[in-house]
Amino acid sequence: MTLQNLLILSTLLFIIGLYGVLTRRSLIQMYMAIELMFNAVNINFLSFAYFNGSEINFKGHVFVLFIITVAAVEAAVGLALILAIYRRSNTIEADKLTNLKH
Amino acid sequence: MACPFTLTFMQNIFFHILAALILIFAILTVTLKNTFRAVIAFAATLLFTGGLYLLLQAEFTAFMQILIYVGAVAVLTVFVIMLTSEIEDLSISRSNQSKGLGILFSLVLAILLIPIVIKISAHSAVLNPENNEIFKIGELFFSDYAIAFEITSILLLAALIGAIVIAGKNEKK
Repeated sequence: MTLQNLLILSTLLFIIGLYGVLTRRSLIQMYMAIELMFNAVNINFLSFAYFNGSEINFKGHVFVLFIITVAAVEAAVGLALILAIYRRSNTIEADKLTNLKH
Repeated sequence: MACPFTLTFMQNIFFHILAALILIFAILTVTLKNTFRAVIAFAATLLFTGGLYLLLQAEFTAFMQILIYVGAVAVLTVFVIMLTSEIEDLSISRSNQSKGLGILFSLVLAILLIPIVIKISAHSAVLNPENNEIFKIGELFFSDYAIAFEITSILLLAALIGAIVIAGKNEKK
């Protein structure tokens, strides 16, 4: 569990999330990939907090808790938006939601 | 609280197992066609990430991750999937043929967990009551990050009201 291995893990998780956002068609699948990116960032913060000289720097933990809270907030609002979109257009596929296209 | 740089063998093994599981379930999350199964893989990813936080001596953060992410965000996502158009693709079996498998899993989990619980409760003190993570996080939340802490509560209130307004039923129709 070296710092290098943890950073490689968080980078791979971030890339997997990025691939999911770019490739998926359903809005909910895109949303889950975004949450994967949040988790990659959290692992990054915690690993830097752990490998911080001889003492653990707990400011990383505090920031991770803030990220988790804001992700929960985003879950509520984002999923409410998805419900509203579904009620309006009866679809949640990103290809079919072309109302704003010229 | 000193950071133990002399890594034990078990710590390394658990890290590699958890990292492999996280990556496998993350890849499953972004590649499964069935959205319901993707959500299950997503919840598993978050669960194993919480386990990784335990290795990084972030016990409170690990519990909050499992409580909030797995317990609220993943479940809310399942609700939204049920309420939107994916219902035709789901194959939720109503049969009871997996009851034997459920009993088997429960027995295995009990056999694994009960010796650990007995061993842990035999010792008097498990966590250092004065110098652990919750102590330090509490100090930081109420000294350096107090304003952000209070503003987060306002943000949660705004999100609560906003989600109800956005997803509520329209009375005009």
